[in-house]
Amino acid sequence: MADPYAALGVERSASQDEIRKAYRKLAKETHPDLNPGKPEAEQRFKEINAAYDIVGDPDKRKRFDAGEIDETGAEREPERHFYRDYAETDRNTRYSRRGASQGDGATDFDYDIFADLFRGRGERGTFRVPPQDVRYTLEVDFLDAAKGTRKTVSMPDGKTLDIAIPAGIREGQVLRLKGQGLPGTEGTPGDAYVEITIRPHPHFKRDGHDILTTLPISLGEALNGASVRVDTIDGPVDVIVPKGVKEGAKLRLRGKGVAPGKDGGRGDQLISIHIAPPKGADDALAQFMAEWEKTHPQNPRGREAT
Amino acid sequence: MIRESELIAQYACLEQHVLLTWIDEGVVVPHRDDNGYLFDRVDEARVALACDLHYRMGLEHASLPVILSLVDQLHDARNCLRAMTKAVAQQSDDVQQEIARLIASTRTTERE
Repeated sequence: MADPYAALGVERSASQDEIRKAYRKLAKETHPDLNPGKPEAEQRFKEINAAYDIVGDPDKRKRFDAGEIDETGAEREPERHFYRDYAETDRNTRYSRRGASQGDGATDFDYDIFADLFRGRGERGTFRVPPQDVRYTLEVDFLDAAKGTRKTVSMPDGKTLDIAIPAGIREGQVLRLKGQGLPGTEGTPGDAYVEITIRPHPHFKRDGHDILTTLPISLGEALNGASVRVDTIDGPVDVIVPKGVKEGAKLRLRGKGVAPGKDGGRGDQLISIHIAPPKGADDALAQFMAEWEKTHPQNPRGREAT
Repeated sequence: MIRESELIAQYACLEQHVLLTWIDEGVVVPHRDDNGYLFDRVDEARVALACDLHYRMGLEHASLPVILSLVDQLHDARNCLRAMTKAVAQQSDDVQQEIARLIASTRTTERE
């Protein structure tokens, strides 16, 4: 049986008035006695009458729209979703993995079932599942990657991994954790392979075994030299900035880089000097510089036309 | 997700103390927030099943956890079978045929 709205040729949102008008028009067009030459008129007329019975009556229409009755006016059972429709989806983990105990969900359910069914039969041709390796990615803090550390991490699949991150580990390097994968039917677990990505640090950058930083100094410090506190991966250190140091010059702190460096020691920290323009430069400074440049000609642009 | 009160309103036969007992026994395991229990569609379907078993089929309260546990194990086994079937389907035709042959012969043997 057709949708009553469609049968009357009206929108679901039509007003009662519109529905009545549509019905009357169609009734005239299809009434068998008004159309003696049309045999199909009778069927059509019955359809539109049945349709109008439902949607022409405001109460019935309301119930039909709500799904409580169908297009013949019969009571309809509310839509029922059966549990099995959910039970067979992967994501229903709250109710699966429940044996005789009250499932507190330890391992991956696939392997529980397999282990149960196939464990220790010892007959020829027993179905054996080999130990499974698992692959993960882990993002590691810059300093942890540089200096090395030991961590216990919860991975998205629920497993906890105990990882020793070696000092100086590189971006993209893969660590093999023996025995931290999934067990096969014999119980010995496979390995976990963890690919390391390194979270960038706001100040430190890495170049192989060296740590790179930038040190802004004032013009006065550059001209006169200074002792400046500088951050290293081991903590702050006082560094002598030589008098007359130029923009972009590199100071080297030996052994403050990342292990293992050359000869098994550590790399270095390279500090790139940046001379910051003077803050609060006033007329006095401007005048002084103009005077000073008269006796100390500057040619920063080289041999171009002035 | 709906709350306890909405759920009870939807299932005319269900009484609140019965629902609470079911939650206690793990028949249904709803989500929770600060304001109480929250039932998603899976939970609703489970409650509907429990209602059918108890109110329509006359099964006693005590047997519901047992029956639902069996239903859960059944679904686990079915899901496992489906996973195995998928794995077998990815094998070469030869392997698939051999597996089919072995299954058929195992079942014949067991019948004797």
